[in-house]
Amino acid sequence: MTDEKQLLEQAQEGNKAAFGRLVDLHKNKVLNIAYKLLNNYEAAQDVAQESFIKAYVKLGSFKKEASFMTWLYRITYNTACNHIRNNKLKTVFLDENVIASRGETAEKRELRDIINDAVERLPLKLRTVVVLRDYEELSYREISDVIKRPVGTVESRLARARARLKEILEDYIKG
Amino acid sequence: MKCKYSEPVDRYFDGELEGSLKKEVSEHLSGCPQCKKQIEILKTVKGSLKSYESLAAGDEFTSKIMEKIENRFTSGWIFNVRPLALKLVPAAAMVLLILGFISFSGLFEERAVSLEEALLGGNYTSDEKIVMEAENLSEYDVFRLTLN
Repeated sequence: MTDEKQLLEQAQEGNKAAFGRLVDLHKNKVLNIAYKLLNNYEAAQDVAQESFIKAYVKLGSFKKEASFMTWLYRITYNTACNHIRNNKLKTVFLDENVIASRGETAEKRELRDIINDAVERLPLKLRTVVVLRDYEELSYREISDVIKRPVGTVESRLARARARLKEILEDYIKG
Repeated sequence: MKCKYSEPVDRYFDGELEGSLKKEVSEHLSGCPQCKKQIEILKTVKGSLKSYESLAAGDEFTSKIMEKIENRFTSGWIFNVRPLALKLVPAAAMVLLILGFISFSGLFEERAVSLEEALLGGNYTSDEKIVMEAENLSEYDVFRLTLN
């Protein structure tokens, strides 16, 4: 049995320390997903914490045949959607020093910023599928499980998102 | 004009194609500049997204969550019970309450009273059965009682 499966079983039996270990294993992924969906660092922290607390409460309902990470993504996505619905979120970008990759050329950094800016401006539904596919590299089936929509919907949203990003990139290349 | 392979190219890039269609798209790519450019754009977008350094949750992240869990769920055993049981407990309590009310209110009781009690006591309702104590009352007795 893998380490995660063991921790999951123990956590489902009421072992809080085991749940703490699961949080340690997945906290960065959950925080990054939340940030990419919300474009707001403070909100991402709140949503990430709230997602883990919800996961703790719902642990009993998690079916072991499914992927724990996909289940956690679903909770994070739903929590992020609720957060956006209940709050008027302002985009707060992180300090360049926090997120910039080292050793990049100015041109590469400019292109990266344009693309990420374009992704951040996509509507949440389109941004979600792009982030889950291109950043988290989930399969269409896994994305379908996270957002609770058919695989066909995942494909069409991805196509629409990429069409928009393609227009922006082509403008940049021409310009 | 859009290439007819434009849609499967996306799925090919995402690793979602298999078998003969995958092979067909792979062969098509070598000869179609439009689809080759599409793949390049997809690579650029994906590369940009992945190029950002990931955020790292601080050292206190986990301890803050465990503290919130501890504060919210301090009653111990109640919140260690599985969710289904949590739903059943209040439902069971409600059923017991209703049954208890019914048993104490005497709604379904049939109170048997003697004929004498019924005629002289005046404290019976139409739902109560009047039971003749056959050994002790004659028809004359009944007649006499009704006159009173």
